[in-house]
Amino acid sequence: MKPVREHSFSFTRGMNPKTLINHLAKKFIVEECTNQSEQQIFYDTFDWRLHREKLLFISSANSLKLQRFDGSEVVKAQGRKRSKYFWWDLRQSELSEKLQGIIAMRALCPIVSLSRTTHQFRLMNKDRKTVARLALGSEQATLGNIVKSLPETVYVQEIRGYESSFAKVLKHCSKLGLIPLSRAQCVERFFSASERTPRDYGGKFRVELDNNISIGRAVAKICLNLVDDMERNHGGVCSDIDSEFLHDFRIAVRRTRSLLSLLKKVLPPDTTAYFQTEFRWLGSVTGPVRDTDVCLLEKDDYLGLLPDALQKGMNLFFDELSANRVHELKLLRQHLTSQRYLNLLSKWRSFLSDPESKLFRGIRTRKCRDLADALILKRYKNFVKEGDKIYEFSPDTALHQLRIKGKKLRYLLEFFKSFYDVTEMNRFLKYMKKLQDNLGDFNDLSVQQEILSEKLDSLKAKNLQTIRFASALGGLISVLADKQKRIREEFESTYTQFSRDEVNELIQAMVAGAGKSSGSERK
Amino acid sequence: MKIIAVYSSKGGVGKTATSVNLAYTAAKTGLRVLLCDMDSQGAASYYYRIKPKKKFNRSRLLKGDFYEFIRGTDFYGLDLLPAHFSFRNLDIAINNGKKEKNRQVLATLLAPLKDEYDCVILDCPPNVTVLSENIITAADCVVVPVVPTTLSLLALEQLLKLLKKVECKKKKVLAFFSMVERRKVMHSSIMKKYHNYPIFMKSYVPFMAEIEKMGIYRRPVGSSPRKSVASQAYQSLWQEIENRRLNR
Repeated sequence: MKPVREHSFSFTRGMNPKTLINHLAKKFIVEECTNQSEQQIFYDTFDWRLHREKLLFISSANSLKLQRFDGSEVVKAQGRKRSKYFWWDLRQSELSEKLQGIIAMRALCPIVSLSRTTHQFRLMNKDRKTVARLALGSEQATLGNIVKSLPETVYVQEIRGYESSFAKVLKHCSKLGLIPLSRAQCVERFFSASERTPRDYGGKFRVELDNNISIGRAVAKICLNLVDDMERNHGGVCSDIDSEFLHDFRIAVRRTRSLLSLLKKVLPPDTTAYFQTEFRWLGSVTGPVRDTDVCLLEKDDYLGLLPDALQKGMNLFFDELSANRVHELKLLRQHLTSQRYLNLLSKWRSFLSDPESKLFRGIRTRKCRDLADALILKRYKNFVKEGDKIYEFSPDTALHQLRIKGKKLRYLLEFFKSFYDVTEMNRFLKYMKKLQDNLGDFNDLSVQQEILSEKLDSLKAKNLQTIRFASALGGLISVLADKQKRIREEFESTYTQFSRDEVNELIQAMVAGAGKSSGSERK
Repeated sequence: MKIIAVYSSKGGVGKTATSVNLAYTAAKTGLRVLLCDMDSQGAASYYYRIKPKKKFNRSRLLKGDFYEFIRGTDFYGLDLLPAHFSFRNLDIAINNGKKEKNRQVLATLLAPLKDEYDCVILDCPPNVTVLSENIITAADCVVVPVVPTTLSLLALEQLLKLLKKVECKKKKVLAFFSMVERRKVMHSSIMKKYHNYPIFMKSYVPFMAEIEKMGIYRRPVGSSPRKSVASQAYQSLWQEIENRRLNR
C-alpha cells in the first residue's frame, strides 16, 4: 500500500497564514482542533557528530528523542532537561547505547532552542468527514536574550483514500505563493535560527593552498587556521564542557609547534624562537589536565579488567584523580586567561597577518611547493631509516622516537596535502595510519603504566585497604604491560607493510609532481 | 495480524455498534486497525462518514484490487474499507469453485495486509452463507453479540454448528451479552445462568441511548468530547478479547 503523504510549506515574510485558511474555507469545511505549544531544544556535539549522521537529538517536556532528518524516530527515552548530556547520563536505556556509538566522550550541548506553537485544523467535506489535516506552525528561537521568529509554516497531511483533497490543498498553497519545504529544508530551518552553522567545526584538518603560494603566505594560512581552532576550543576548555575541547586545543598547539619546527630553517630565527618557547609553554601547561582526562576515560575499561573485590580500591584511585583534576583545571584556566597567553595570541596573529611582517619577506617569498616536496622526502627517508633499525630487542624508546618522527611526517603531509594528488595522498596516509596507530597505542600504554606505577610507588602500606589497592594497581599494570607486549609484537609486521617498495614508489611519485596542479582545481 | 469478525446471524443485536467501537478502542491503544464493512447496508461506513469511491465494487474486492479503496477515518491508526451495494451478492460471487477453496477466499484476500495492519475487524452481514463460512474461517476470533433472550441463544447454537461444519474450533467464538437491560427479568436470569460458561465473556454492553444515538452523531462513542459510559463498556470488552484471544 502506498504510504500516506505529507508536505510542508513556508509562508513568505509578511504573509498572513489566515489567508490560506480563508481560501481553503471556500472548498472545505474548516475546523480548528487543538492548539499546542511546546519547547524543543536541539543538541549536538561541538563538532556536529549527530548532524554528520543525519540525526537530531531533541529534548521537549520530559522526553528525549533521537530522530532522523526525515522525521522518523530512532529511539525515545524519559529524561529531564539538562544543560548538556553525555551518553552515560542516560545509562540503561536504548538511547544511551545508540549515542555512545556516535558521540563517544563528547557532550551534547544545546544548539538551538525553539518554542513552537501549532494550530491544528481539519478540512472536511460536506458529510463533515475529515479529508485532510493541516497544521499552522510558528517557531521562535531563543538565543540568550534575543528572540528570533522563523517564517511560519504549514504542514499538510493526507488522509488515506482522499488523494484529490490533498492535491487540492497543495494546489491552493502553491497558488498563494507558499514556498515548498523538503524534509531536509525543515531541518535546516531549525539550524538557521542558531548562532552556528552546521558542520562549521570538525572534520579532517585541511587547508587549501594554491600551487604557487609562497612559503610565508602558506605558513600564515595554515597557522591562522590553527589559531582559530585554538580560540574556538578555548571557551569549551575553560567551561570544561567535555574532554575533547582540550584535546583539540592541544592538537592545534602541537601542529603549530610542529610547523615552526619543520620550517625552522626558512623562518625568521629570533621571532620563531620566541614563538616556539611560548607554544612550548602552552603545550606544557595544558598537559596535566589532559593526562588526567586520558586516564579517567579509561576508567570503565580498567574496572572491567578487575575482579569485584579489587574494584573498590580502583574507584578510590579515580576519585583521587578527579579531585586532583579540579585543582589542575583551575591552574589551567588561570594560564589560559593570563596576559602571557593573550600576548602570545595577539603577537602571533600580528606576525601572521600584518603586511609588514617578516613572514612575508626574504626567503619566504619563494614557492612553498618546492620546499614541501623536499621536506616530505627528507622526513620520509629519515623515518624509514629509523624504522629499519628497530628489531626485536630494541628498547621501547626507539619506538617512541619513531612515533614522534612519524607524527612530524604526517603533520607535514597534512599541512601541504592540497599540493598533491588526492588519491595518492589518501593511499599513503592510509598506510601510515596503521603504523601510527600501532605506535600510538604502544605509547598510550606506556603513559598509563607510568601513571599507575607512580601511584603504586607513592603508596605506604597502611592497612588492608591500601594493600588491596596496591594489588589492584599491580594487577592492572601487568595487564597493560601484557597488552603492550602484544602491540610490540605487531609492530614488525605493520612496519614491514609500510616500508615496502610499493609505498616508497608511491610517495616518490606523489612528490615528483604526478599531481602538480593547483589545489583548487582538484575536488 | 489478527482478524476479528463481529458476527451474528440475527440482525439488530449490536454488531455494527460493536465493530465500530471496538475498532476505535483498538486504534486508541496504538494498534493499526482496518475495519472492513462487509455488510452492503454500509452502517459502519455511515458511522464513520465514509462513502466508497465511485470505482469500488464487489468484483474489485474479490480480485484483491481493493487497497486504493481503503480510506482513513478521522482517527489516527484506524482505516476503513467501506461497504458497497454490490456486496449484497458477495456470497454468490464467492461460490464458484470447490467448497473448501471457497471458504478461503477472504483469508487469501486479507493476508497481504499483514504488514500494514495489526488488526482487521470485520463487520459482517446477518446471514448464514458461504460468506459467513469465509468469515469464520479467516477470523482468529469471532465476537458474537448476544441479546440475552432465548432466540439469541438459539442463534448462538446454530453458529456453533456452523463452526463444526467448517472445521473450526469452538474456542474461536467469544460471545458477549449485548443491549442488556438488567431490569428485564429474562435478561438478568439468562445472564445469571450463562455467565460462567467459557464461551461468554465477563464483559457486557448495556443498552444505552448513547449507543443508539451514534447514528445521529456519526462517531464512535469513545470519541465524544463528554465522558462516555458506553466507551468504558467497549474498553472492557476489548481488553477481554485481547487477553483471551490476542495474547497481548
